[in-house]
Amino acid sequence: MECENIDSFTPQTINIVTMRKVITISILLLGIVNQSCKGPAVPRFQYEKAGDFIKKTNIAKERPDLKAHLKGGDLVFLFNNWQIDTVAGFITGEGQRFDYNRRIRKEGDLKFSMDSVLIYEMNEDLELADGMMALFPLAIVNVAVTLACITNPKACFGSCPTFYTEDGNVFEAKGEGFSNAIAPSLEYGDVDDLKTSTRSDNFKIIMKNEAQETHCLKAVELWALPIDDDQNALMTRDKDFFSSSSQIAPISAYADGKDVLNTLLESDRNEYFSAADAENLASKEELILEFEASELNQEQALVLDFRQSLMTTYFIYSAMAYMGDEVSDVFAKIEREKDLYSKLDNGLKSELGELEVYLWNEELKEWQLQGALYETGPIAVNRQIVPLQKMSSSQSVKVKLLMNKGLWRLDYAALAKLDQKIEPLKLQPSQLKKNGSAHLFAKQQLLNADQHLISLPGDFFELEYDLPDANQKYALHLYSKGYYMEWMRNEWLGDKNLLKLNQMMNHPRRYLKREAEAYKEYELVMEEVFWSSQIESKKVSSYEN
Amino acid sequence: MKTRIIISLALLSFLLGGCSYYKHLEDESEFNKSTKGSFIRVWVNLDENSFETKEYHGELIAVDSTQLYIIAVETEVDSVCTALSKSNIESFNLYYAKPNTAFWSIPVFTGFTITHGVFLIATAPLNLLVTSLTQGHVLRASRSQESDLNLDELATFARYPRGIPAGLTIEDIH
Repeated sequence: MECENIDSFTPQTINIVTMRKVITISILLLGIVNQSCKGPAVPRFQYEKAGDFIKKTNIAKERPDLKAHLKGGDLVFLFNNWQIDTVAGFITGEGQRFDYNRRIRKEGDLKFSMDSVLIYEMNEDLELADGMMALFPLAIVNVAVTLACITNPKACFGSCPTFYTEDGNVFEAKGEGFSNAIAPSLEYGDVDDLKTSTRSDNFKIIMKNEAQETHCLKAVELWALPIDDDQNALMTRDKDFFSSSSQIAPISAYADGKDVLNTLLESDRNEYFSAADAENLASKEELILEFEASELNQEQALVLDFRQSLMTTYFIYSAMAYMGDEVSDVFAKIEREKDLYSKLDNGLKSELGELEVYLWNEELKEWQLQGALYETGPIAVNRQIVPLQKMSSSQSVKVKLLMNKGLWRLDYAALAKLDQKIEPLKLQPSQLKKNGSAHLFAKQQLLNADQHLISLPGDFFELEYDLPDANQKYALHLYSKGYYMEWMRNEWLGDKNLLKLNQMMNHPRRYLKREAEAYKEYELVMEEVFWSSQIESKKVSSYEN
Repeated sequence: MKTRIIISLALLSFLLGGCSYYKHLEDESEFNKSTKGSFIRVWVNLDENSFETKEYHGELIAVDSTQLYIIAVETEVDSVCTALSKSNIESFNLYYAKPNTAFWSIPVFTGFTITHGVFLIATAPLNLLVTSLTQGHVLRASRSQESDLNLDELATFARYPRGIPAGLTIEDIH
């Protein structure tokens, strides 16, 4: 499924289980640090001989106060004007004398014998670690991100329906729903590979609205594909499904001459991605994959886990901001004139292009286009396949990905053997809970083909699906159909610029060149902070320039 | 999960337990002028066959070859000095001054990330971890424990650095 927006990462979206882990880890770390580090160096010096004390005070930066511990338990505290007369054997100065219970006995000018002193004590300023000083760098980062969000709120806020599955104890965002459908007339259905299989009699999906949007859902179906124990189900862009019993990893992967193989070997959110071109946002790049030759003349396909960067999000919200207070007029026009949206959507898309897959033909010595992938959205990772021509020789398989720089994130690539075409069982939800309670009306809305289930910001739905055979292994995909309406934000109104909107729609090539500088500023702050500082395990991405 | 919560709560109460003694500590700037012994918490094992320890806390009065003397600070003038056998002491925390902690920064910094929109998913845990680590470090860096000082070295920070003065008994000390 596609999603232009990224609001799924609002406070409600943050994975509760992950946050619990972070809180627990924080408390544990706080405890460990509290127990493991070293205590302070305390600047207290005590001497039994006056000579040693004088020597120490002579090298001190400032003349210190003197504390004299007397034999009977009294303490004399003298300000820094003290004098020690080693010849006469007296100490004089202004200060206070305390008894052994530290009650003041005398204050003012004091004089006492050196013989009565047990210990001479000198203290320097105690400098303990300051809890605030250490937080200044973090405060600066926080304020910078906040300012960036205030400056460009569309980059930080706004999104689309997000679907989660429960894997053990962890809910993961596995799909983003119909985000290109930003008006009723643009409603469409889409399928996401949940990358999950089950062998049970039911399966639960969580659907959330975490954005300032109204979601209108016509259908949310679980597509279950019966497969054997050793198989996976893979989907093409055209929603054809194949069972697959083996996948082989690439033996090399180079992007602009750099080895990026390690980012593509596992589906682990350790992704390959590049920065956008600073001169032209439509610049392309190539990634060459090589696979060892497998069995000849078999049906095979390139498997790719991919998602988009925040680039398309930037464009969509820029477009809405350019519309300013005329956004409703423009959307009304979109309802009436379909080609208007096509211009808006396809203008940029045609320049940015799709993720094109080429196969090297050794006999003809040329790259041959096999197909292309395209899914909008930066959150859920899509898994799709591009079937490849049958190879007739035993040479290695070389695949080229041609894509727009800074637009795509690739998590996993493999060559899959396609066993056979399979058809999904299309399941409707048997139970529906809205915000924690069973909701028959909402269920009825979702099941009725003439109605829409309305989901408002903050709503979350638990959808349960009954599977026909608990002993059968099913690979699961999710089909959702609907549209949503983005709520206009006050912050966006100030950015109204119909000329730029016109440029974006009618002269996308020029727009992508002129917008490069602004986007690069956004990309530097947002992409780097967001993708490279992720705490959650297995979410560190590589960043190639 | 239950165990994790219990451990977390125990650690938290342990840490916050330390905070309850702050009221007895002077400000960092007063360290030079302090005329009394430093505040100390001592854990003593009175039964060799048990892991149970008993906590004593108060002003460190003196340390001699066999005993450590502290006086409870909570009961003011009626406090009596307690002698603890050094051989029974399991651990201690010696506080020099009020730590410059800013525990408020943990919820405030973490909560502030709500203004980061989408980036909250990264910045909220980052803030929680960094602020927790920082405050844990600050707390630790304000005191010494058995890994930093041995029991004899504690004498430097006692009211009477060379032991109970001759002619005084522990009953005389308040």
